Amino acid sequence: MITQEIEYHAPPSLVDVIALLDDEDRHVELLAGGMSLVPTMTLGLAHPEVLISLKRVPDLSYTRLFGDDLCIGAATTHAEITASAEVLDNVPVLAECASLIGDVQIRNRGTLGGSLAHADPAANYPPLALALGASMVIRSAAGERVVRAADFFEGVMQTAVAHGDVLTEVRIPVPESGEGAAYREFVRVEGNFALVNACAVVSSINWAGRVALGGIASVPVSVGLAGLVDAGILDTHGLDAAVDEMTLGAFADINGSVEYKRSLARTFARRAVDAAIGRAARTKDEQ
Amino acid sequence: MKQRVTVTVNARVRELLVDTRMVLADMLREELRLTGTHIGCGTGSCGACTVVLNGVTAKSCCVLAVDTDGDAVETIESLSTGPDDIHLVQEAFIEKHGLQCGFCTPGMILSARQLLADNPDPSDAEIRHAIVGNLCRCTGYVNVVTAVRAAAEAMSETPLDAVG
Repeated sequence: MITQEIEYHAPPSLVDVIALLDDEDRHVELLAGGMSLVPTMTLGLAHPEVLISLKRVPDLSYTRLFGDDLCIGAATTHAEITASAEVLDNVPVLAECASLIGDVQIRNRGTLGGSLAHADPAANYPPLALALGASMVIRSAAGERVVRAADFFEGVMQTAVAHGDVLTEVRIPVPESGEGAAYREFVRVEGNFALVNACAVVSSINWAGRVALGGIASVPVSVGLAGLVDAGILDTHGLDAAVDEMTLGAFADINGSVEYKRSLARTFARRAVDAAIGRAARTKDEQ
Repeated sequence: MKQRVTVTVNARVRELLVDTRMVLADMLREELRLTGTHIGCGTGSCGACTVVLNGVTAKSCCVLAVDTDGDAVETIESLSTGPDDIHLVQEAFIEKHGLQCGFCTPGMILSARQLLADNPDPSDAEIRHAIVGNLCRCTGYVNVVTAVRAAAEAMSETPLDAVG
């Protein structure tokens, strides 16, 4: 049970949320789906004194195209993302990634913004955000700013979302024609956090691309695939070397040794890149 | 600190004064005496606390009671009014021995019902995928899957408006 006394608010607008946040010196947390925050509180790992629920804030849950981007409201649930026609038509790898988070119940409540702001190093979205070059829109009393994925993740459960900030939207550039992307993860039990996960994107026009890894460091890491994919054929040794370079900082824990995790990183980077190449080649064939 | 919530539970509007620290699972069990919702892990892994929240399954140990103001909750109790009136999913679980101790069962049944509402003819793989969030220590899931398959078959033989 939760022991810390909590002052709870459910403001009716984003402006009200930000005003409350700004006015607050105590430990305050934002509450969206609660699938990470509430268990964390029950376990006694977090003791916010003030909770600000986003449930009444309108227009935080949507998937829409705007310009070259797929824009997703931060309070959109994983279930909504998995089922969204805009996501499936434009950035299907996002649906693939979201569909593997937790289980049905967790996906019904957990949100894109909540997951990104929580930034568990083994979470599904971070490597995808990095590989696809997503941007996070953050609002505060100072106004609105946009933070690229490469600058968003700062450490274990630490992001560019600071006290007084609300993550409101995630923007993902819609892939160019001829691009393929894939998300692959290693879990021992379906629904668990991955030990290692990977998201790759490859273009069949110039065979350039990127692969990002999660679970292997305190933040997601990525590397470009320049020169590693020649006319659709992957230089696996070259990719292994690039992944080894990326995973030098891997740490051992109860899930496995450094060698085991780095080996998983090689395998799943390869699987993600192979799948992305296959999808890119298919889009090329379809043109 | 206590706060008022107005929440519809099993189609009845309830107004409650709840401690802001209380989770929905405890509110249902302690304040409303709806003890069909069970608490296993209390931290969102086991699914014994599964309820239907605003039309979709959710783990009630991960929802703050105070955060359900204006929401609609359905618990396992909403599936039947007594032994002579049970839901076809419950019937299938009984017939196919899809439960032993019964602790996971309310959550398992609500998850099965959500699956069948979205996918009336699931494969075994789809059934297993749908119950990832409901852990069972007794059955090894074999008869759970059998029960859900049987419920799907029974549902296909039943007029739509007779299925809740």
